[in-house]
Amino acid sequence: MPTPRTPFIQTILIGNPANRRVLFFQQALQRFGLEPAVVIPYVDLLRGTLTLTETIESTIVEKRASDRKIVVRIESPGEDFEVERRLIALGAETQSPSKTHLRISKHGALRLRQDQGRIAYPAQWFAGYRTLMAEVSQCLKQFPKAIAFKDPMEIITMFDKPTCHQWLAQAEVPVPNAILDVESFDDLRERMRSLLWNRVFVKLANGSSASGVIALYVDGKTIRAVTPMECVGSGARTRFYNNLKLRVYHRPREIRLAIDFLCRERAHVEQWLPKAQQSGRNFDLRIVTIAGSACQTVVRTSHGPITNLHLGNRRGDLAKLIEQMGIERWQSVLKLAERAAETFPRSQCVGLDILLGPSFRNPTVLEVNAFGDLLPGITHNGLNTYETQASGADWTLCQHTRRTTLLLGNKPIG
Amino acid sequence: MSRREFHFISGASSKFWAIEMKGDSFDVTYGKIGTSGTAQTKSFGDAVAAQKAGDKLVLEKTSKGYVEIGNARNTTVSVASDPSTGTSGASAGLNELYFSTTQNVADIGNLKTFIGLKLADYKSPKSIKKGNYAYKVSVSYEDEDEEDGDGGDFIKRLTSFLDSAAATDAQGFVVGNWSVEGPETAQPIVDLFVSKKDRLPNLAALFFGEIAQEECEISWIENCNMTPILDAFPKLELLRVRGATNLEFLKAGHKSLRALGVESGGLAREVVAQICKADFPNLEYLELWLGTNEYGGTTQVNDLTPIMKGTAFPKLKYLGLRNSEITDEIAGVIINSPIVRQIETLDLSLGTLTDEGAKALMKLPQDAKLKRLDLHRHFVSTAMMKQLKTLPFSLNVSDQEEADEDEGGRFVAVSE
Repeated sequence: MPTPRTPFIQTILIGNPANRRVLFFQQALQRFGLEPAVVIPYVDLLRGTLTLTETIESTIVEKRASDRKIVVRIESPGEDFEVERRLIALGAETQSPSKTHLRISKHGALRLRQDQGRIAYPAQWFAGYRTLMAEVSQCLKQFPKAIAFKDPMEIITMFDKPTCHQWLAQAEVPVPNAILDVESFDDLRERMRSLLWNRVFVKLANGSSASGVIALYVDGKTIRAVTPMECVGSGARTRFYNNLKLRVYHRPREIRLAIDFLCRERAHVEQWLPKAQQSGRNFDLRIVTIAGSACQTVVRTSHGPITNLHLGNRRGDLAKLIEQMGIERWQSVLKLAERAAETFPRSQCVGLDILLGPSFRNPTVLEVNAFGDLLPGITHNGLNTYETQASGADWTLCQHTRRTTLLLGNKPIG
Repeated sequence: MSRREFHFISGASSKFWAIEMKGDSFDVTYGKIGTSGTAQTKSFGDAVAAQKAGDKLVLEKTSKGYVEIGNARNTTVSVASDPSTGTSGASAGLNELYFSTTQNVADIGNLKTFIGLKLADYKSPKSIKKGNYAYKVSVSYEDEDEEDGDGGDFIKRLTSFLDSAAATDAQGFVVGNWSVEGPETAQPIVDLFVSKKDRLPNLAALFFGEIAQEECEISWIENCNMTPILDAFPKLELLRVRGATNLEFLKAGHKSLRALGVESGGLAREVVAQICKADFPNLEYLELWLGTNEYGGTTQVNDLTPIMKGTAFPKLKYLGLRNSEITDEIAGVIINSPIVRQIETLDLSLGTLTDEGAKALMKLPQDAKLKRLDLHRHFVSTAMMKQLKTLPFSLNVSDQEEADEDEGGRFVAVSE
């Protein structure tokens, strides 16, 4: 057991209390003898029944925490429909980066019924989330003692694939080539033709995991889309859902419909790169960086082109992979992960998706996930992602530096 | 006294195993083809016990994919002999044991021999060796770093080979990986073969695309129309192609072609239709990897009708419908098809065969020519495998896989 220490950190956590991420983080705090986080449910923040300002103030008073640092941890807003529709409602009032996306009024949004798997108003949802994060960011500026574990505006950038891609590219982090601002299926085809590309990934600019992702193959005679997306209804009633089972579409009409939908909601298109294989399965890597260091890693393997683990794919063998590729090359992958994480210097924990090409060459950063640390059972030095984050309790917080320095002083436990 | 010899030939290995019964004992000899191998004698109390033990060993070998060479054509030609000399009968052509080169996933990109000849990499005229070899031309990352080389330019290297003396003698040739930086179309390679076809006057066997997964995934290999290759080499008996992206057999025909193999992660129905329409009157061996829908495998059972009917290729003796996600459906249909009464080997390996398909296969005709059933790498239960073993065929049911329901079930062996 770790020695209990004087807790001089008080965490305030914005999240959905029923989400396991919140539970895991609280458990990690407890394991290190730290004060449990004060939780602000997203839903209360969105209803206005709680504000961050008040919470920080009351926390300082109630916990007699005037001498403590306040760390505000923003968790994923996912897996709570009430939060989802309130974010969509909030987005009705703000401008979104997409001008063509499907809109719903604030009242309409609040009346939305839960529709499992539906890709509902993603651009408007993003506009809402951006507004909320901007508010959080504004609020934090009033409290010099409060610091965000992940900067809210960096979270927004990570959630916006085209911007994220641009940031990484500017930092000279290897990323797949992209086609920006694709307007429609026809526009995409035209631009693929002129680039002589016949394989791309079309992704919802603001989607998470594999939501609204299409692996598209086109040549002179063939068109094929592999995607978890499913189209239901027609005309004005057309809706798109994410299914847990990947589907293959060959009909241009269906593929056009799906891609036109993604383009209206804003799409990010990237060149589809070949992946390395392990035991006959394609794989990529999820590497979680904490305080700038690459920590927990998962090999995500799949028989198909999309490797997200929730689609029924399987974890691969990391030790074997390191052996196969050699420690030197592996170190360079970890370095790349850390370099990519540097692009988001005010976020202490990010989850990077990194692709290795055939023969484990050309590591490329595919995604930066703001909430990429939900990897149950995966440990680094004996700690899971949440524990490693909590183990930075000897946090030396230097707000003035670009990177908030966390000293990871704890020895592995358990 | 009877000596029975069995061979196992795949890309990576070529082995023999022979047994000679001698009353209450038998001699077993085994080793690499071309060597005299290791011999062992085993004695038993009586002839019945010896026979029983011998039969058991034979069954073990055949279930591992060994083929009795008494069953193969040209048994008089030792497999180890030099096929280019064709000593025991000039008209005999290639031994049909060579038709199959990719038995398992592990063989992909791992070819050591081709048509019974050792495979040698050709990089420059200096690569030409004394003796009989089959050559392979391929390029890799490493080539780019080599000084005074061709910089890893596939076309340059192939041209160099075609201009060499080795080409004139070549009976078999292997096209390896041709693209280093991302997929490139095979069209210039086909064009080069056609323009220099006179440099390969003896070409009988061509493997187009012996490319390892690490070099280029099977579904990323950019092929093209193979008909010009068939037209350019009238002596061709064996053509094997890996990668079906953009592959075509437009109005294909060939009088001497005896074996055609198409390995893919997904075979489009259009390509199957072109093959079915092709004029291959002497085709004995047809191996198609149907793959999965996710990688362009659109072929359905009814697309295979011309093959099933036996009308497309009257001389067919081996039919392989491999690496398929519709193996059960194929099994259900093929048992009542005319082709299954015509062929000697049915190969449904590397696919997604389950108990359902296996049950159907129990109804395979036993009074026809069928001798071998290759089902390896399957999802059949152990109980059902036992039932299959009662069939009077030489059976390969190795490589049992288990379906992972979380993962959406069963997968073919090779896809991306």
